[in-house]
Amino acid sequence: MTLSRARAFTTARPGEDWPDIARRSLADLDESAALEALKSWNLHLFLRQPRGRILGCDVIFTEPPRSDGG
Amino acid sequence: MDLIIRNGRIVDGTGLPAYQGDLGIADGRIVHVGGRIAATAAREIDAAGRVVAPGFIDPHTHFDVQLLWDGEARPALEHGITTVVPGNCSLSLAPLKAEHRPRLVGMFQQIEEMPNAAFDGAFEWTWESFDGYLDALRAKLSVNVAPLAGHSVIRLWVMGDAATERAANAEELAAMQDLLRRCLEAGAIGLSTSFVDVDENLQPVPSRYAHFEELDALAAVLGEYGRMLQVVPEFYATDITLARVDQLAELSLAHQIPTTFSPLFDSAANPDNVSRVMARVEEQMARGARVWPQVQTRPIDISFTFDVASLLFAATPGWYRTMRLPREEKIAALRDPEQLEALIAEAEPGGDTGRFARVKVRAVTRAEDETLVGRSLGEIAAERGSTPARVMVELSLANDLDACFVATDLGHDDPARVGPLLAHPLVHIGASDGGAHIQSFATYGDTGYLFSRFVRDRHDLTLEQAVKKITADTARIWGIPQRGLLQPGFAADVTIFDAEAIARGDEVAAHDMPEGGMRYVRGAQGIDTVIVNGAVAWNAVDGYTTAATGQVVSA
Repeated sequence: MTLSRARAFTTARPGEDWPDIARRSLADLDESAALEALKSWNLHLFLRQPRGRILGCDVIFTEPPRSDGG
Repeated sequence: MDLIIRNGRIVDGTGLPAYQGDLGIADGRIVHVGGRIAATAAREIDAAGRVVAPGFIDPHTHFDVQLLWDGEARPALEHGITTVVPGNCSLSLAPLKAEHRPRLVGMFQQIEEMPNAAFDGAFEWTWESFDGYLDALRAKLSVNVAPLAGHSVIRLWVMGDAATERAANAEELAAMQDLLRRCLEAGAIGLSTSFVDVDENLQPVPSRYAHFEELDALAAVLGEYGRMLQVVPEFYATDITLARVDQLAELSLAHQIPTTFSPLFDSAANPDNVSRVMARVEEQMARGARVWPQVQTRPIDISFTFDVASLLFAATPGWYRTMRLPREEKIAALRDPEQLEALIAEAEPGGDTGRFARVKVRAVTRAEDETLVGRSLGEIAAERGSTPARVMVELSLANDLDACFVATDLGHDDPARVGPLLAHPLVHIGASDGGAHIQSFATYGDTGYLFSRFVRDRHDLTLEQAVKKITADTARIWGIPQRGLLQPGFAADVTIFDAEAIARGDEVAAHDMPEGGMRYVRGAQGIDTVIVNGAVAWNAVDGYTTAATGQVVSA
């Protein structure tokens, strides 16, 4: 059975930081653009203290919210 | 037979229509259900006009500590609960090395609002292993216990301080797997983890440092036993919850395990949340994944004083920090004009007084304030030409920090939305948080509320459907064998109640915690008799008995 399309996300691999995730998940963009995109889609992670810390369990969105709510 | 229940209206947990009949019990097991029993027994109960149902199962509790001095999990048992699942949200009292006890106590106090007195001298902390904890419980149980092992304590055991610093290495992963295996062998019904909780220093609990590879490795162990994975998702954010549903489905399918996430709330502030999450759950369940959303029956409210730091203030860090100060420092801070203005600015930014306007005064100690009880801070502020936050501070100081307030508009409070949700076949009724948040709200009586509000008043569920939801469905979802049905050979956990009267009582303050500590409780209404493993554990005439027939039940 095929699932409907849902908002894409990833999780950090051990040792990865934001640039690593940006390069891996948004390979079509240059790094700074990819980082900015990740930041805008994951403000809840970027804004918490300490700023920018990634926890192993974090859901990291790799695309913006879907217009259909899915 | 040891016990015969005659002339009852048998609601057997299958969801099929109720019928008149007798029920016979011998050696803790049901031996007869249905037709008239000619034999007699040492004890007989006339259940004419009453429902005879399987004992209710509460799948989300934090009775871990309370069970050590109160094997009845009062007052859950008198509400008809015969089995509780403690150890949720990544926290259990085992496995836990002695050196890590202070950290667990801190997490319990922060997340579940368990006071210090519950840990200090109320029991002797004799164990480190999971089976050692179960041995400490077994001696005095009146209620059945199906305990989860907590991911955070497993991580602490293996990694020590590094549990809140980094990913686990291969050796540590293997050690966690072995430790979980030992817990499951000892009787754990599964593993709990949390993606949201923080400790007493407001730092993430150990389970949040685990990468998906770690959760996958632990789920693989659960797969060896077919046991449950329980998680606390980011329930306040729909997109993240949807991602968690997909993660759980992946784990469920890969390792052939049941999973459950709790809570799933309905809220006017996020009206599409439930429909979107349930749509995803339906898709994943149709694929064969087992991802059970737990939904509580009761509306959300929080009572609080300034004497303790309520979770209500978690969204306003300045207030939360102030509430966590020692008493005299707190009073001084609230009396300091500069600090007070900073708090007011945080609570009422730009003059927006909405945050506390609908909060009501619940109780006061000062006689001249008694006329304010039941009124909202917004009304009082309007009369005084003040603001709700200022009124709240003034009343607290005037009442020596004992003025009690209640916020009642926190969501999950529209029965026209919650009722159909509870009736949804893929919704797992639970998430009571039994035994936790004891100074914020009563976590007892959710089953009574299910029957009074959603069966009797609104007809969202039939009596039979409601019973099935909190008995057979729960046992099946969690893999608890031979419970949840009135069926020969099954354990004789039985709740007898009046379908026209069952309800939860009013929320009242009780001082029955260790050292006279306060908690909010609700008594039961309409429950006649509660039977655990064949023995009467509570009845409406005599109250609690000394039967102590509760067991550790596992998958």
